[in-house]
Amino acid sequence: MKKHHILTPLIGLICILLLQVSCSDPWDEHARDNEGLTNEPLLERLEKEPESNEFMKLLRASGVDKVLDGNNAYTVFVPENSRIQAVASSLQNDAEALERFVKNHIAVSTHRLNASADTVRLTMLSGKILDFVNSEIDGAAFTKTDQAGADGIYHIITEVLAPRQSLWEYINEHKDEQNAFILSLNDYNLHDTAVVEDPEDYYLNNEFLREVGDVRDETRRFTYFVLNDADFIAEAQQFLPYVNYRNHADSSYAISQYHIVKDMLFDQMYDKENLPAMLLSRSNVPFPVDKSAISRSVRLSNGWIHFLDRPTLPIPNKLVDVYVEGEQPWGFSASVAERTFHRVRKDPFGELFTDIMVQNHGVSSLQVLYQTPRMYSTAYDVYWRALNDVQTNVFQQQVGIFEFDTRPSEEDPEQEVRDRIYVFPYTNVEQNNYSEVYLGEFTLADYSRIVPVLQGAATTANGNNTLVLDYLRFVPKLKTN
Amino acid sequence: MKKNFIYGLSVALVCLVGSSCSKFLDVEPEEVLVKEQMYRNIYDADAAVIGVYGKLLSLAEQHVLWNELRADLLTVTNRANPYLREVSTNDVGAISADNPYVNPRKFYEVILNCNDVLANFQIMREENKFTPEEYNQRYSDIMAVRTWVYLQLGIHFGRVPYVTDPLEDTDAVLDRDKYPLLEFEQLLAQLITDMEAIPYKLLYASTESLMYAVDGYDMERFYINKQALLGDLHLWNNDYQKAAEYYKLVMTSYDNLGNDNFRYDRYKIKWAEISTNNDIAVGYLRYREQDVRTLINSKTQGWRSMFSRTQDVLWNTEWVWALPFNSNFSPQNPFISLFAANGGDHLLKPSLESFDLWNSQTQRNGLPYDARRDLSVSMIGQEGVVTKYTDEFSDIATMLPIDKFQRNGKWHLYRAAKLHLRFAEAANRDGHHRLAVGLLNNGVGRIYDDPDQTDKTDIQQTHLPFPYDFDARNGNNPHYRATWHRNDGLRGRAYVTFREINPTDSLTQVENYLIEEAALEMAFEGSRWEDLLRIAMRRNDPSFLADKIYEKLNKEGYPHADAVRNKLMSRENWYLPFTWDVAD
Repeated sequence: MKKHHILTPLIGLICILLLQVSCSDPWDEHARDNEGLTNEPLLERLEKEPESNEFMKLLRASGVDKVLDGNNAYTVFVPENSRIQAVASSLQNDAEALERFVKNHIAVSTHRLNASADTVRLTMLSGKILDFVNSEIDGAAFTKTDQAGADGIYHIITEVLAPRQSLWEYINEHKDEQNAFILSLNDYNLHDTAVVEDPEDYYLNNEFLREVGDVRDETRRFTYFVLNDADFIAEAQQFLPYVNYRNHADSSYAISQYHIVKDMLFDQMYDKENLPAMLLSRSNVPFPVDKSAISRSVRLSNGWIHFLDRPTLPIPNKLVDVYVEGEQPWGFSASVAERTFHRVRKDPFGELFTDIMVQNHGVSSLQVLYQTPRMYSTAYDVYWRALNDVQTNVFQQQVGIFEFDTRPSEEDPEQEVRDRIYVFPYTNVEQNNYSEVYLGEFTLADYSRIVPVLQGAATTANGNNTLVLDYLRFVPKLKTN
Repeated sequence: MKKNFIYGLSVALVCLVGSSCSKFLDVEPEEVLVKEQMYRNIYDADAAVIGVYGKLLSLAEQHVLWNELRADLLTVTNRANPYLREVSTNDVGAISADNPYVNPRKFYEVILNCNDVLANFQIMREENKFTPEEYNQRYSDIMAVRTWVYLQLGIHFGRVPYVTDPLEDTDAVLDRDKYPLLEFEQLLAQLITDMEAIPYKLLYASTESLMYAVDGYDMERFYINKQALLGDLHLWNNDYQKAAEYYKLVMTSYDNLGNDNFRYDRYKIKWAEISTNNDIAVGYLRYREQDVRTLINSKTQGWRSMFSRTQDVLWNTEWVWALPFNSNFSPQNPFISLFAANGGDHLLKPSLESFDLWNSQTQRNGLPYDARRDLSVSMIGQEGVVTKYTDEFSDIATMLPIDKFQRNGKWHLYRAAKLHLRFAEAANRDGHHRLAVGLLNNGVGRIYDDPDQTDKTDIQQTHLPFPYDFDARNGNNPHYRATWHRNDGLRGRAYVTFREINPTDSLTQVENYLIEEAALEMAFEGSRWEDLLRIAMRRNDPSFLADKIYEKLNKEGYPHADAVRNKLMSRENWYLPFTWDVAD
């Protein structure tokens, strides 16, 4: 009997031991996840892949194989042998083109097949960006996917990924009138007050790249229209009256050309099929799209070029209203910061707007100065919106238009003054008037910046010398001759 | 032999069952206070009171989620988890069983804690371990805390068990045979009986040991205000005269203490100091009121400062009850994670409906929105960030943490604005529309004023009996500076234009305006759902609640907003499911 008493705790002990053994080890499970992955380097795997024979020849010839040295992980998109054979001859004698071609098939890091409808933008070693979406890369389909090596992954694809030109590269190689003009801006300044050249980036001296769009940038997408030479010249001649720059014919003509090209570039990328009926340029000019005028289109790495066989942008579209916001003054004729109020109001349509009010400042004929961008040489209708809502009386203010550039005063050559272009008469600011008030018309002879000046009544009496302004609106007029 | 073998096997099986790994570590701590060692003297009793408040702090997060996220002013960001989204959507039938935010267990832990303390206080009293005065004050305080917790449960669950036994096991509360569910009306009647029976309804006497400052915190506003709670209970019970009486007692509780400024300023919604801006009113730099850039948006001046300033003279004019969170003590401040965009998780944000409410106001300088919008909310891109809870933590301009390890803040529970709005609600229902409008708009003095008379002897006062007796005379010849002469009204203090009252239906209109004012003034402070529910019940009009939730959901594009509205039209869908998983 006693024997069995020893047995009892023994069985219990065995059970406890059993329990502990059954606990699983998460590290074992983790290691098992990676089963089936080969530890061979990517290059060795590619060597064994029959469909990569032709591509490997190019890879070795270009020397790019040294990049795949195992220090970093890469993804290689390998075109089928037959596709490489079709293009190989054209690359044979151009080492640079060959390297660019090969590098356009390789991306840093590992990228598994993207079968979703969300675009992955892959930057290839060539610097070009390709869209990887819907199981296609740049339109090429896959025949074999996600072949992993120790330091990367490869896919077999059905088309070569020939590197495309960027818009800037294209413009440099196709120098028709319009493109030639853009290139001329590398060295030629449109205005004699142009900014100092950027020593870091010579090309930013080019007004087109700086102001309209940096078409060198591979990460951005553009749509660009090109006129044929005769049309471009005719358009520039037609617009010449609006950009009279100091009565200087050559300068004016260059500026006119600039104003034609600045409305030819758009920040989205549209092929001919998907072009909308109207595009809006950087300077807010509505550009009507006439697909029947597009004679051909070229796909670029960062956009599309469409060639127009006739101009489609009428001049009135280019004459965009210029707004001067009251709450963004450039200067004051006296120090009235303590009496300058930035206000928020709601108009009768429920829209909020911000305005400026200078009140109880005790200065006679107080002036608030504004500035504008360069404005076309034509006549303008001028409106203001000025809300007089906290005072119980009507007061008066006026707007004067002055030249932007100063010149020495006639009385005192030491002092710089601005010449007056036009001064509108004092006008009542009626109470609680949310509507625009028409001030009158003035003519700008020169293509230039101007300084609009808001001036208070000539009295120190507070309440009567108040200034208030939501905005000034300048409506350029079409020239008829 | 066989028998022994079977015996051995069964022992082994018992071993197996008993050997689940974690239990090995379940060692009882050695330094534990045995029950008999607690409750020996007044200091033990004080420790028990502070202990209850410490436990109460753990309800802060759920209290704000229930009263604000369920209501129309607060909503979730896309960083919030699905449980928070369920609370925000308010479709109580679709709430997950394991949603931790709607679990009432913690509330019962506090209640049972209170029950235990109350029972032991009675034993102590019988054994003469503290004086009747000491007993009365502590007993009443804990009873008030318990009542407050029950009121919250009643508001959000409708039918809850009313337990007064000091149970050891919280889960025993779920025993329906022993503790049947009480309807909200029954519960309310019970709570009023409890609270009316307490022997002491004031704050602790200043000589009491519980009033000594602790860790730099002035303890005066640390404890629940029993009269304000009694006012709330009677207001829920639609007993307006009683409610007004208790609220009025709180409003005037400092009138005979300290100096004249106690009487003029404390809980009086005092006017703005327009020349110095040293106030808690909405204001601009003097003579530059037209300039939006001069709004007083600071932690030391103006309306915003009440949420982060130290407990100074001005703080004391507004706050009735606020509990502090401090990085040095547990529990940790839950609000930084909920609200802060930097240093927190930004799980909750103001709803579009709340912006619409503020944007439909006009300030007295003509600005077409309520400045309390910009003083309660900051913007990150298009998304709002509630700042009321994080002003002690983050910088106003950059919204970055001042010191990310200093996570101090407060649970804002009761302040003068709530007191005035609820008093006005009671007064309005009791037929005193004019007084209610005065407190809402521009102050009692001005609404009973005649500007043409320089002799203020018979004007600027209500001429009504308690609790509607307000004297706000402010005259120079003859000279008067009456108790209420600095009262500016809530909209006066907030610098917004005054409400026009239609004399034919003042009752409903004034009540609507009062509830809307509470939204503008006290958004996110944990009383919106209460307000909506109270009015919906009083008017027997579920649409008062349902429409507001619909507006919130609809404006943020929730596709089933209409279905939620329909469900909220019946009362049983107002209440969260009362259950929790009994721990194994």
